Amino acid sequence: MSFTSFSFLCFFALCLVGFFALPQRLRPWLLLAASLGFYAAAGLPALGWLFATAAVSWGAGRCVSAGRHPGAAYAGAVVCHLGLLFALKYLNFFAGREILTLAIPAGLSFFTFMAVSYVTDVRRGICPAEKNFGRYLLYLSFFPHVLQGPIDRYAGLTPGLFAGAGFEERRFLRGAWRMLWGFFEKLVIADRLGILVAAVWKEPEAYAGWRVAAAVVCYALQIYADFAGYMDVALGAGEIFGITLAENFDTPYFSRSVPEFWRRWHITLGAWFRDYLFYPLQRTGAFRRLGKFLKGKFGKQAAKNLPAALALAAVWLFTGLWHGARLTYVAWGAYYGLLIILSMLCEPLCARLRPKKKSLLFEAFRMARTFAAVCLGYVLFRSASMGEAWRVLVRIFTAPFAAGKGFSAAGLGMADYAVLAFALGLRLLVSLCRVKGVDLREKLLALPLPLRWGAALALIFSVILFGIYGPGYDAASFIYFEF
Amino acid sequence: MTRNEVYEQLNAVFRDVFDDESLTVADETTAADVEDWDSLTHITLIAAVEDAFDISFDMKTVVRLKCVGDMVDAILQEL
Repeated sequence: MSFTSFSFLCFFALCLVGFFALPQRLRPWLLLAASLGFYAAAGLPALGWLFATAAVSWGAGRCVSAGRHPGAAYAGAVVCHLGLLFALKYLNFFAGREILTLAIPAGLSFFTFMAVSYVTDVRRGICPAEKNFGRYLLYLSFFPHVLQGPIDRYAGLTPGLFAGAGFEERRFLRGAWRMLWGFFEKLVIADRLGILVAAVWKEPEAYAGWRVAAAVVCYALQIYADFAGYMDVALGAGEIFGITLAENFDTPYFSRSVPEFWRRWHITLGAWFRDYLFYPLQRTGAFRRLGKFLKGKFGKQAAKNLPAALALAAVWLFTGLWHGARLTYVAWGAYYGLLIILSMLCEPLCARLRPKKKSLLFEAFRMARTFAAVCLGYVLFRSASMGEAWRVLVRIFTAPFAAGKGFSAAGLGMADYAVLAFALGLRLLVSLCRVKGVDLREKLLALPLPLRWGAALALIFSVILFGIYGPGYDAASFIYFEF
Repeated sequence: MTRNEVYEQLNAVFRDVFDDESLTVADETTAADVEDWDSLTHITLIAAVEDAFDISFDMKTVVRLKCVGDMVDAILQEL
């Protein structure tokens, strides 16, 4: 059940009525029933996998906390989770032929990572083991995050998740605004841009190189509006129930370097790899010995950089693979790994070359440079094969001003471009408010009632009138749904 | 070892790791206050602190440190 389907709106309305009508102690159980129902719409076998994942990590957490073979229980759970992920998602890719024909459960990569984070946090003593299986199942299956994240941590999510908070008008309105904005981003911006991007990607040779480059920029805006839009719906829904989900974006296209971009884009995935792969890898005996050896032989810079570079290479190999069993994802991960390692190695030199006085122009240059590097990565990310990515790149760099089709042939009319110009302008304004620390929703809530309703109705009608809908008024799938 | 003595030694470690002789840290200092203190240097810093005080932090401490004050508490606990 997609967030942008009519059935989801009915489901969510029913959830809301039921949640606030029930006594406080029963509310989390309603959320559990609703979440399982929501997930069951993805198919009953998928629900079976979700149950199995929950049972393994919950059981391992109990063993670890009770001191019953904690090491074996922890290692067994991690092997089970990652083994299942590997078997369902990657076995055929690595084998080069079809060994398993099982469908990949929706959200597998997301809930597997949440399960591993839970059992690891219990092992590290960061959070207590959950005694009640139902409560743990709710953490894993909670419908706003089960399909596409955010990859919430148990300790961060559960206080609100189990509180069964009562109705609060301000919180309700803030959450509803955020959900509405998410629908706008997805339906008005992302799905409209998606039409142009798909048309250009289908036959890049038919367009001049600069138009193909413009389509890559459009893809950067599409994937952001798509994924951040999903997050706004998810976090807004959580807020209405009094549940704070982890933020996944912090105006990433304003980043001044690639490492900074990855601290502001898909934040919960980056934090997962940092806490559960990058840090533990660097803390292993082998890495420590390597660091000590390098410090003695080549100095402290080498001792810091080489182990970090090795750990980063591992992180980015897995980050690429996490997105799917496809060579372009592996190449995309390698591309970022290389960029981040290079930026780490060059940082001392760059810091010396940077102007001492803060210059707006230089900051803008750094942002534009980072955005260009990110866009180049998207060529790999968007393409189904290396050949397709190559065709796009060749067209951009070898025929920038060749004759070809205009954008009017890319599936959008003048009215669509006008809608896009307005919607992207609004998107930029919202991002600038965020950068400046302005809480736009508080400003909206402080408006006089007629103005507030006017703004809300304008946004609602924009979504209805200018949203892109397919047959049956269901929108296109979210991009991150396939991960 | 007193908290002040820990700070004396800790400041030397910070200056060495971040190559900044003017750096002085306090309880409320966070990664945002120290240029270059990111997830890459965090592990280098942790290893340098462990070597300097001859202690070993567990992963909970490594992951959850929010400010220098937390680090000093963890050092005093380990000593």
